[in-house]
Amino acid sequence: MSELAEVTQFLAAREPWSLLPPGRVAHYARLAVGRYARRGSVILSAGDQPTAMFVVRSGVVEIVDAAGALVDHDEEGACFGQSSIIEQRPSRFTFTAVEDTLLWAFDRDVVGELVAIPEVRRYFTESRLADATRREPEGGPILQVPVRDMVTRDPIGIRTDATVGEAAQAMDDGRVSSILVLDGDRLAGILTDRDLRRVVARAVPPSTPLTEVMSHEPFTIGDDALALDVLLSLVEHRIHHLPVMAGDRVVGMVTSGDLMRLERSSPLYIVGDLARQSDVAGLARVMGRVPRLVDRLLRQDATAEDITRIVSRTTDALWQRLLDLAERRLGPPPVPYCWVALGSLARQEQALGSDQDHAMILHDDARPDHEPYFAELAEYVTTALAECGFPRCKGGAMATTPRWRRPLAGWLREFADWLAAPTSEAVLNSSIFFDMRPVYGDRSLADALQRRVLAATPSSSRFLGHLARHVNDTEVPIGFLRGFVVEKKGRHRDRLDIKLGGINPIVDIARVHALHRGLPQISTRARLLAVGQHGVDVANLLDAHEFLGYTRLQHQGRLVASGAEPDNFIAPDELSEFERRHLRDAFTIVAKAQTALTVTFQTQFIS
Amino acid sequence: MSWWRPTNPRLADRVPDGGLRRFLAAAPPPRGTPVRELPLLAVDLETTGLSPETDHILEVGMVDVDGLGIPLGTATALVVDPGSEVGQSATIHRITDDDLAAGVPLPEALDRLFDRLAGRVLLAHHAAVEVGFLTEAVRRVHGVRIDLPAVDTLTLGHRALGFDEDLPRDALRLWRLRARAGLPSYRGHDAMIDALGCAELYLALVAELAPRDLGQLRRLS
Repeated sequence: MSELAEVTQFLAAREPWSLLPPGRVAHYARLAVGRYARRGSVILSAGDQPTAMFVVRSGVVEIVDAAGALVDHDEEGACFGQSSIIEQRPSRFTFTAVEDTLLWAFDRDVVGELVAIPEVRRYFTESRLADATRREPEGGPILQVPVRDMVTRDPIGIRTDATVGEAAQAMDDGRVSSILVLDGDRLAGILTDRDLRRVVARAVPPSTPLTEVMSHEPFTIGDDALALDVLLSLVEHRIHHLPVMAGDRVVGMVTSGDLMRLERSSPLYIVGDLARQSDVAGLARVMGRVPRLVDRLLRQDATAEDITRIVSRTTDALWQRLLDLAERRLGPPPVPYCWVALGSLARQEQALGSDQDHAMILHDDARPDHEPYFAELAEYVTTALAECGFPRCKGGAMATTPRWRRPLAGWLREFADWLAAPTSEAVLNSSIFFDMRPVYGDRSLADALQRRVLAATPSSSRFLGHLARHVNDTEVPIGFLRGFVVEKKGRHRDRLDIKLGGINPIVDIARVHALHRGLPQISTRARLLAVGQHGVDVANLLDAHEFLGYTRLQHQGRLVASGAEPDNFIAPDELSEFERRHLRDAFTIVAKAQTALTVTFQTQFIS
Repeated sequence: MSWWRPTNPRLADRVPDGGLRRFLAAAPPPRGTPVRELPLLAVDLETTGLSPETDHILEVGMVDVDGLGIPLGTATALVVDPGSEVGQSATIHRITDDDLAAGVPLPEALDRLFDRLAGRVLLAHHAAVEVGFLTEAVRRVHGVRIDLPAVDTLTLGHRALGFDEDLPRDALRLWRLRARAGLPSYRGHDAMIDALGCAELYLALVAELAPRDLGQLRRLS
């Protein structure tokens, strides 16, 4: 029998095949079926149940979600279709060959055989682009958390020569429902609450040697197993506690309760936990879980839009809780007020490492002697936010600045000034206030302000012209011949600011269009979709916005995972060729949209 | 009216029981067989030269094509012991006399090939070579002249490129046509890989030319 050296070598050099025991790759190579997809042909449609997993041997496959949004591309060596087979659900995505593509198809039985190998299963479940067949709104692949991440405290142990009474005492002291029985370093047994119930029921005296009532040679689990393995083991053996081993050393214990607590890093739990905190330290602790939430959402294939909306939602919850705490401290407000978010939080586009931008709209009944109350309220919230990881806004766009803490009538005058006789500088500094969203208090104040402002913006030509020109102040970091323009020196050498040079111009373009038409939408995507209804070509900008946002979040996720502070500086050299190509495309789209905006607005309104 | 000359079944009794007899007795797929269901056997022969009369088969590579899929596990290579010394071309094909010592005699190689070909259509790149060598080998071994209809990826490729065009000299070579279809380049000149390469090119060409059934496919090639 001949060997398929070409096929075997190709697979063996790539995950998950490289994780197989030696010699097994050749076996799988013989189970592949070669298929060809001509450019433009659909390989697997969203909603269909795949009968095979596909490996891309050559060519490129585009992955689009059910709503038609581009999710990613699969290139040489990538697998798709396996998640739908494993979960026995229809595919969430449509896979289309965008270049002529040679595929190797593996039958679903083969996929079943492959996922029985733990390393392969882990690869499939953890790989970011696993075509998970449905988006789970909160939990997601919780069961793919490694056991070592579930162990939160050192194991509580007791010597083999202890008595039942001593063990019960140690469990009570440690507030644990089970205790490890150790013979030196060796795990000799386990004693659980259930064993103690038996002890009591049979009136066994506390002086009885522990070894007579404990479970000997308990089931254990390796620290590299997954939560899924824990669940399966607990169910299979009908137990609730599993000692976690690193080699033959006990490193901790996982319980059925730990499995339930895993849910805690889901956004719902974070929002719920924020509402339960009664001090700033507690709130800061809960907010510390947000970066991990982002990491998990990235691994679950959520879109940048979804992730930033979820992050924004948790920040909203933090603000609401802080204002609630502040009011309890300072007493009820003398007149109604509305606390509003500005900028990225207002647009629900907050990523990690964002600073705080906010303002207060007071009821027109507010009197000068009410001022100290609101000043103190603003100071309390701003200080607390800084403690929770949100630096103060360098531009002073915060409710602690008296100018940004005023009655509705004052705000109307302020906006009227900006819209009427603007200097270029004034327009630049005011733009953040045109992205405003009520977060706490009497939202009718914010609604009234927005209604009045939007009634005036479409006819404010000079203002719109300045706004449009400022969009062009930003140089997109792409040069002649599509080369990236990176920092030449300093801390961010060879990197580019993806937010400043890519995301911000799109946000600005969307704002100009929305204000020009008096549209109430605030988020960039909603604004673009709305102006798209008015005939502006926005399809490319929407794609570019999502791609740049996603690339930024991935970058931040990597920084957080390595213990660094999240920032916006991307090193093109660290991206794959494919990502670089798309980054270039996205920047080119932004640059073109800047030019188009100039044509539409500046010539029309200023010159 | 059949698309192959119906002489083969009459020859079945004149050859010994085995693969060749089964091939001759089996009806080939009817011409109305849709391409997506059509069973073929992609074959590549490594030979000592280009003349079926004076040169010998050194190695047989083959792989099934089931409709629009290639089950890679069916890929096979048979080294043939031609009963004679290997000539000059051994350096190209990287088959040494030692390899051939492990080979099978030509009648057995033929028997195994035709056993696989029963009920399938022969598929090759520049099929005239495979058809010529195989019919000649059968004639020498069994004394009968069989009919061996084939589908040729070279002709299909020529059709895809357009007959009118002034084609560069090697435009119809297997690797050039493969590159044109976005297929990967393989290390090269080994009967099994070439048979697989031909099978993959076939999938690409039927995707491009979109023939409905075997009848249309035969008219294209």
